[in-house]
Amino acid sequence: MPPRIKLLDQHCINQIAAGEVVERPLSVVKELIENAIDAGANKIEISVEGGGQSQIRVRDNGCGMAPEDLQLAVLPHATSKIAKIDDLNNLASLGFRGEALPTIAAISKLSIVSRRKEDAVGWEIRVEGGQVASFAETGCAPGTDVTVSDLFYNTPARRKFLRSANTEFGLISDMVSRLALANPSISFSLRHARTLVLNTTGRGNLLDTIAAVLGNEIARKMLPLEVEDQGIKVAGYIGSPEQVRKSRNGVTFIVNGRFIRSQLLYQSLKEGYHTLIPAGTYPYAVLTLTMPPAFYDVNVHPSKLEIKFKDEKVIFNLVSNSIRKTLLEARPVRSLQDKQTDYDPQNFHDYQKDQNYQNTTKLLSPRSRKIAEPHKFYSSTPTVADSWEQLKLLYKPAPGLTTDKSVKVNKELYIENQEQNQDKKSEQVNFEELRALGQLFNTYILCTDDQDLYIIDQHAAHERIRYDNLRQQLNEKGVYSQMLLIPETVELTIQEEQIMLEHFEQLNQLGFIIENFGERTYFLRAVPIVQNLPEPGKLLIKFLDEVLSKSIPPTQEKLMESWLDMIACRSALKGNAKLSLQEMDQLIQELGNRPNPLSCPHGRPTMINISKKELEDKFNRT
Amino acid sequence: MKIICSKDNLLLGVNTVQRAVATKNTMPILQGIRLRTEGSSLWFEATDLEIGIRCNIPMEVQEEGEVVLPAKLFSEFVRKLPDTDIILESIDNNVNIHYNKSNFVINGYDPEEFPEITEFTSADIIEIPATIFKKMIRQTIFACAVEETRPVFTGILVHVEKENISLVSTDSHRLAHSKAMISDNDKEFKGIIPSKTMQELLRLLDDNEILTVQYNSSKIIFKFGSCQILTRLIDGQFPSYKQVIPQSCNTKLLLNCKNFLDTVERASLLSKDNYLKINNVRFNIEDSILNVNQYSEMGKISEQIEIEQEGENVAISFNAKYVIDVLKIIDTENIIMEASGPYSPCVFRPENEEDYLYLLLPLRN
Repeated sequence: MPPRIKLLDQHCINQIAAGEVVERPLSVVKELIENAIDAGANKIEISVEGGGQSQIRVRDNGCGMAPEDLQLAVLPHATSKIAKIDDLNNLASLGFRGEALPTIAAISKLSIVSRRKEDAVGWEIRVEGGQVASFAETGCAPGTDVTVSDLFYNTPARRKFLRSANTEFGLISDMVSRLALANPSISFSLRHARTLVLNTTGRGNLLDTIAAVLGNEIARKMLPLEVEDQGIKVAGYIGSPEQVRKSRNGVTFIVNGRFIRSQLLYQSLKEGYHTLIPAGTYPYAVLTLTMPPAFYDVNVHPSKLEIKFKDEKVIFNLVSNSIRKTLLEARPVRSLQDKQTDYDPQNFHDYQKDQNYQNTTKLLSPRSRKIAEPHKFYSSTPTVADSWEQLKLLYKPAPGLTTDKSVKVNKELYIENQEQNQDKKSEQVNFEELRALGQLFNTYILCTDDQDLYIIDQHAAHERIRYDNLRQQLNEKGVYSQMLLIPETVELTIQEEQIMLEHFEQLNQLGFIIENFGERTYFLRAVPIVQNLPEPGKLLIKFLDEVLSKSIPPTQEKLMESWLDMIACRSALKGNAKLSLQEMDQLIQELGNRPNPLSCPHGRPTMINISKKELEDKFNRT
Repeated sequence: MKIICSKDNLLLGVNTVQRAVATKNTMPILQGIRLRTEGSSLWFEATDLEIGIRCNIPMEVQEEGEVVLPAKLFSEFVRKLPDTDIILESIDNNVNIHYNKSNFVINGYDPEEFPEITEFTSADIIEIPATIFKKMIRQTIFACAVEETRPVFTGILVHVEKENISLVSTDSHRLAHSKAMISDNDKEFKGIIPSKTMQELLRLLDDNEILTVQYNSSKIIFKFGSCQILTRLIDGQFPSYKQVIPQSCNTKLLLNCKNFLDTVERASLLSKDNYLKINNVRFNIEDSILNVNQYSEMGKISEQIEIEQEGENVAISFNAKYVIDVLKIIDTENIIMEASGPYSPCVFRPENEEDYLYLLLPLRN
């Protein structure tokens, strides 16, 4: 006899649902921290034991819960964050589903101690496997203290699939770091087996938090970015192109205080760094996007790590353009000091702290503070007045100061800021001042502006010049396409066909003349020629793939770039070619005329610099 | 094996077969030339399995036998031999070459490993005068595709219908078609012959010879003088060339070949070193004047040629190389150009010669 259909009991439902929300200890930590943030805490202490399986404890100094709320909190779909479904559109809190606590309670031994500031005593509730075990008055500090022990003790299947304690803790610390980056004004501390692993100041300075999470070396070279358009604000710090890694671990996106993963944002980041970093690498970046909640939907998955934007194109362009602009304006030149320990005593101290994971409060050296000044995009030349407005936002006057005084302070700050901007310009390369000194190994050009020494890779530099020339010519003359006597037949998949039809006009402009030949077979009547294109059919498919793989279709220019790359590289000056001083000077000046002189089209650097100070340091002259 | 011969005879044999020696070294034996006696003559043979060339040269044979010698070493050595009687004597797989009072030993390959360039007998034999065939190859071979992506385009289609023979080549940007009459033939044949084979025919055929063509469904042998070239036919369907040739035109021009060629070559100088390597040339045909106005970052050219024009005015762009290619192989003084608007195929024919046409597709901008 086949088994009868029957309704599951609530306990069973909770355990199944728990699998979706609580996949591994990491999920518990995330849910609990988010609750703490929603409770308005500015200090959150996390301690983890045994990779999170033995114990996870999250303590905050937030608003706490009333005893009756505490009893409700462990019931499914009980939440203080929304009351009706329409509230989702204006959601400002991190949680809202009312699922976290009951599901955690269903698969662990849970204890919550909570006290509101106005109450004299706190209450403790203990839940084991979904059943309330005890509820009693207790003494405690204001805030909430949640302890989750023996996670997955009643779901052996989940437990079996947990990785080693170190792996699980690695995931947890990554998540805590990102949440810390998302909330620079909350002080986070994370302990594993009583060892302090991470501690952020909670002073509201994002760069301080970045330094605590990613390290001083990275933080020092980061470039500030801030832009606002169509109600969307993008702010944060992006890494210098010289500091890249093979994975996306150095990238954090925060949307309205929520850490998220988004293919769209990863892509726009790559787009911004296009040709500035080698293919297959990712820069460091911490970007905060602020926009009205109606612009996106986080209710895609219970873990709330994914996000869907309403207008992807606007966000894509805003992010990639602002990154590009920041990078081009800053033009950071690679220094020779990469990956070396800085002997600045202050930094050295920090470095040691880093080593011991004891970086309690990281103070940045004065030099990095300077770079840390937010770099604004001025639509026109900044007047003192509108800069003041921005400055007021940046430097909130200390309480107790009179308005007069605060204006004075602001003025001083403004002047300082201006000087720093000028300072910053001098850090860029002034190509007009550069003069060639000679050639090294017939491959590198040594030159100087009498302040720093620059070493230019002649092949990379020439490649950049050729590439830009080619591009200009292509823009002027347009694309030629060779008509075909015997049309090439291309068979497209349904998806490819749709994209082809959607971009028919664009394809035409690129030089593809396409004709339907019944079903999904198409005739290629003409193909673009840029040098000798070997296989036109494959080229079309490649184009379609390109469109498929990106949510924002590549422009005609983008597609041409790949060919230009190839031609530029082949025709450029090679290494091991002797140049005269005049030729070198010429090359340097031409390079200086490019909008983007510091990397070749493949993203390799064209020049590195050694400052006078670095030389003096090496010779112990100071 | 023991033979006595002159340096010239050896050199002739080596030079004839050398182009068939394999350039890739996947099978070492194919980098050798086989020498085999037959009666009082010596066969030279080389093959890369796509093409095989054999050549028979009479010489004094004292002892029968065969050897396979590394082609590069052997041919370079032969070139440097003095002009005297030369004796080749084999010792197992190796050959001792005696000249004057000296000796040179070349270590050879095992002749057993050398693939047989099998001659097949076939009733299907066509005879073509060499002069005609060579001219036809010259008029078509340049339009073959170089890239291997579509193999049928890398060869020349030979189409024999009774007394008519056609050679057609195309790389899908242009098409060259040459026709001729061969008397006393009732056979039909259609096959695509690799352009490398055709190149060898062009090189080795003497004008006054008669070319004998023997074929089956997958192979073809060309025999002439003391040589044989055997090749595999290219598999695949050649496009039906007759359908793509336009039957009418809107503009018909008569141009002086040499003047036209000079103009196009001068104009293409400007685009030769341009960054994008697009070697385009644009003709503006207006009231019996052909204008070329071309500019690039290197300079500009403006030329006018007087022409004979029938029909409407037209402005049309081509890849200059493709135009130069055809003007170089046309022997007549004047050339006819037939166009039908800027995007339709354009036909070039020599004046008063119905047997040749060149179809060229324009560039769009």
